[in-house]
Amino acid sequence: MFEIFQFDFMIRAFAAGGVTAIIAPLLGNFLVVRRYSLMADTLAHVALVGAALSLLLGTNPILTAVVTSLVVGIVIEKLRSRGGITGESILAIFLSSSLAVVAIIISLIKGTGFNLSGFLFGSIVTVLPSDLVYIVGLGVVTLLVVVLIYKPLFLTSFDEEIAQASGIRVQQINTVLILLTALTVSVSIRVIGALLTGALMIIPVMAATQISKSFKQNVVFSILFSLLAVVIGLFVSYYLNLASGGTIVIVALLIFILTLIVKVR
Amino acid sequence: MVLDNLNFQIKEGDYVGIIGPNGGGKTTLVKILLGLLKPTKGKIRINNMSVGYVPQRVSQTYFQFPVSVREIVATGSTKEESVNKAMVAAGIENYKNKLLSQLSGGQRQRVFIARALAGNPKILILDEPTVGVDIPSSTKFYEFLRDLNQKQGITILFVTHDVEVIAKEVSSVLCLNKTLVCHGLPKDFIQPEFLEKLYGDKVKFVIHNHNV
Repeated sequence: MFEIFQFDFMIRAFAAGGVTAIIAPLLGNFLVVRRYSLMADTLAHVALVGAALSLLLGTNPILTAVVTSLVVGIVIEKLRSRGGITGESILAIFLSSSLAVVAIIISLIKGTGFNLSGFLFGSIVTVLPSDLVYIVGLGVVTLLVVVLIYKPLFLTSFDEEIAQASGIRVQQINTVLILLTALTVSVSIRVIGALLTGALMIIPVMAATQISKSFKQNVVFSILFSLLAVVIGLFVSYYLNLASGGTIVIVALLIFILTLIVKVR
Repeated sequence: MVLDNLNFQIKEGDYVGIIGPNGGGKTTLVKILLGLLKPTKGKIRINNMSVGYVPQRVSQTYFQFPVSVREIVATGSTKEESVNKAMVAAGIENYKNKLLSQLSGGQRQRVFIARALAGNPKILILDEPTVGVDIPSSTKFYEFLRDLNQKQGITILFVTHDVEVIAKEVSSVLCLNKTLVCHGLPKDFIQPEFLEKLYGDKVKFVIHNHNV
């Protein structure tokens, strides 16, 4: 059964998948609390613009995706904090416009063999050794930052007013959260794709909320569920020859349904 | 302009009730004292003392997502010891591992007081602390506040609509209606004629004489 590990590309797939499985729901927890679930999807589409741009510019797709989503992430946060437009509609505007930009870029580079579906739905088995370096590096940075700012991030997510009254710089914390989200989606776009990244950030978190007795527990459970989804999803997709990104998300969905059943009983 | 021409001093150890009609600027004053809003003119001086804050309403987010009592109190301090002490002081140490959504209104309010106490404040500011809390819990709650003020010497400011509580509990009262209408002993101002002027004559006040 474990001949799957004879292949270097599968080992890289498990490594990249593992890193994504940890950081995606980690941030997802804070996004869901502040009803920012759509942020993950929006930034994933923006990251897709970066990935497509990299073909025009000849740069590394992950790094270009990181830079693009970081810049747009800051713009989104500025627009949101300035007020006037609701956060949700800002996200919707960026989500659809990003796809429009991707469509145009693709028409420009027609025939260069751009693997669009790989970026939309992920192609974890094509993760290169150089990609893996970025993925692990960004994963470590994300994890460290969240651990360092855990308390203010937690309080700001639940209650901006109390956070502000306690002297926390709410604006800065919000910006950091968006930057980390941008990093995470840029990493996971390669692993499970721009269209499915949001699912891995949100579904394991919602599954955890059914059984958790504290926020910390929720973070831990969500990461365990998402690791489980990635490992089972990769095995199943390898042996049944299915799309890996889709299989991972469906496994996560099944875990969510199971937790719903456990809660009802 | 929500508030205009305000000038007052509060002494250390005071127990101050803030009253006034809706829209009179009570919450605005609280936010200014906390530094959440900046006054367009003038200055607030708080003599280098730590301030604890208990908000008017518990944010809905706490109910929609799992969060334990302990986790909320722990946001008030980095010291484990202060967190534990604050939970004991607020009488919630038995529920520390419960989800906030499992508690009653009165218990929830104590969680947020414990959170404020964990930071060892010298001043405690509360915005309508007993809204949505039943009468027995509310009575107990004010006993608890009085203890904090008298035994631990914490200066307390709270906003309320409950004039009876003011008459009975506080050492001084601040009345706000766009500006400072009164500041002094409750016995001087918690009088029907004065209150009717503050709230408008549609309100009739009957003050019971509780001999506490």
